[in-house]
Amino acid sequence: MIFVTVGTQFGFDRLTKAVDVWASAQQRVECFAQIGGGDYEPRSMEWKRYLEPEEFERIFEECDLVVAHAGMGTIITALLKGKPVIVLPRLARFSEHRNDHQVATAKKLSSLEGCHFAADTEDVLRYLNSPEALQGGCLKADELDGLIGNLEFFIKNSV
Amino acid sequence: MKKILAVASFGGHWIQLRRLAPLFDRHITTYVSTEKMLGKTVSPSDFYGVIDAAKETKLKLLWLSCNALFILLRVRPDVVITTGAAPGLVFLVLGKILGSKTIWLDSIANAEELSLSGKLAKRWADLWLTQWSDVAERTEASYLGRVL
Repeated sequence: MIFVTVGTQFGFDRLTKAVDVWASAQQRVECFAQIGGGDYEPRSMEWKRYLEPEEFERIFEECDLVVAHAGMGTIITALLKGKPVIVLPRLARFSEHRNDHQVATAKKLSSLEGCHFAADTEDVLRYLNSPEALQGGCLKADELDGLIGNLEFFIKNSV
Repeated sequence: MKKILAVASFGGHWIQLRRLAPLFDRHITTYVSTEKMLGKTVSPSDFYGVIDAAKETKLKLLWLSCNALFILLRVRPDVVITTGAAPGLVFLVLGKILGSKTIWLDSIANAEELSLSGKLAKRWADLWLTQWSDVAERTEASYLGRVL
C-alpha cells in the first residue's frame, strides 16, 4: 500500500493529483492519501483530509512506501519505521508554502538512507514506476545521542 | 532532577521534541503543544494544550501569551526547551523573563538558515541551537547534534 501524505498545515494538490493520475493507470495498487486542506479530491485513491495520531500510526505501519511533502514529522516517522519515503518539496512559486525551505531540507535529508528526493512530479512518478529500487532506511542514533548528552550536560551544569 | 517545560507545535516540531524523550524522562517534564490529543501520548507527564498562533494572528498570540504566563507561573520550570514554532517562542521569551533557563532548538527542517521564530529567539535563549553544523558555522547559532 502506498501512503501519500501532505501534512497538517496546507493542501498539496500538485502531489496528490500526480499520484492519483498515476494510480488510475495501475492495475493492482492500493493507495491511501491524507490530503489536508487541498482542493483536489482523488478518484483512484482512498483519502481523508486529516488523520488522528493513532490512524496515522496504523497506516504508516501498514504501508510499503510513503510519498510526501518535505515535512519533518513524516520523514522522521518514515525513517523510524524503515519505510522508504519519496519527498517532493513544496514550492513558494506555486503558493505551496511561504518560502522554499523544503527544497534545502529535502536535498539535505536525501543523504539519509531511505529518503528519496524528487525535484518534481516526474521524479515522483519515476520512483513509483520502479519501487524495487527504493530502500527503507534505519536511523542511526549517534547524532541524537550526542544532542541528548549535550543538553543533559547543560541542564546539569547551568541550571 | 530539574523541572523542564517542553514546548512544540503539533506536527514535525512535536515529533522532533519527542525524540529527546530519554532526556525528558530523567527529569520532571511538563509538555505543551497545540493539539490536546497529544496529552495522552506523554502520560503520566503533565500536559497543557494551547491554541496555535503565528505572526499573522496577533489576537491569538495575545491570548496564547496569557495562557503561557499562567502555565509558567504554575509550573515554575528550571528550563524551557522548545523546537518551535511561534508558540514555542512565546513560552521561551516569557520563561526567560520569569527566570528560567531557555533552550531553542531550531527545527531540522531549516537546513540553510534559522526559522523566523528561531532568529527572534536569539536574545532570549541561553542555548540557541541549529540542527545543521554548516548553519552553525555561518551564523552565531550553535550545533550540538540533530534529532535524526
